[in-house]
Amino acid sequence: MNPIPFPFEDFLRAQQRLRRALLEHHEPFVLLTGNTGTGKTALLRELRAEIDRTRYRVVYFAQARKLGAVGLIKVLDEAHELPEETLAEARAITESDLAGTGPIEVLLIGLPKLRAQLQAQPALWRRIGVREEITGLRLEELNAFLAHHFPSPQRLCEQGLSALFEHAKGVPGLLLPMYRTILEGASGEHDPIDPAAVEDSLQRWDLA
Amino acid sequence: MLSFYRKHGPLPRQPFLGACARTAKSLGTGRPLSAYLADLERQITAHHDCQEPNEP
Repeated sequence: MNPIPFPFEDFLRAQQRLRRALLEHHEPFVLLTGNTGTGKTALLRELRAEIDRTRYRVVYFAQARKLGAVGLIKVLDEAHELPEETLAEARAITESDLAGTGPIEVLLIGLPKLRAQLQAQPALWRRIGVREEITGLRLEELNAFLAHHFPSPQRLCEQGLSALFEHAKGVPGLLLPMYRTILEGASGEHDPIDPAAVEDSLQRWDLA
Repeated sequence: MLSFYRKHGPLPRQPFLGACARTAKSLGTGRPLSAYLADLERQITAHHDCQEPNEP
């Protein structure tokens, strides 16, 4: 498997908008949502690698309860698990800036339900200047995605690819293990895999 | 599709078509069916939340 994330359309769009929001426009609040396995953490790693360490300091909180540390860019991952007080605290930190120089930026990352949780706090929701969501791959990106991670020739026909795509809901983190399961269950090493065998492997996956 | 309809249906035609158009615009083509249904579900839930104000 290729350790470099596949640059699919959603991923690139979110990466570009987050980069601009955090590093050029210095937005105090930025939101990134997406289901598990869509590439939120991979995107975060890419952004972190791009950040100029002499100008910015990134403080990462996974399932944070208290925001004690001081930093310039605070990343709150799994933010859908955060209690309301922590979100209120995050808001207070970004607002405690009398000079108006905006030294602290908060990037909230979580599952899609985080949007509804934030919308329930209108004062905070209004302050989130950039809101991005990663849905997953498009069907037309699937072949290139599989070729990126599996250099061996493609063995699924259009019907098999479509079944895999629907089962994994276009989510990269599900497509990879499902495709690996299909390959492991198939006979031969290079023969095309029958769509019925694909369905069978996917159904076994669902039952497991 | 069936579980979506069981959960949310029947839906009035015109508002549902409007919701479908918004989903198509925001997600574009080539997404899995579940992504379109999740977006429609989100719109339906938001609509219900607007219509049912919280009790004091």
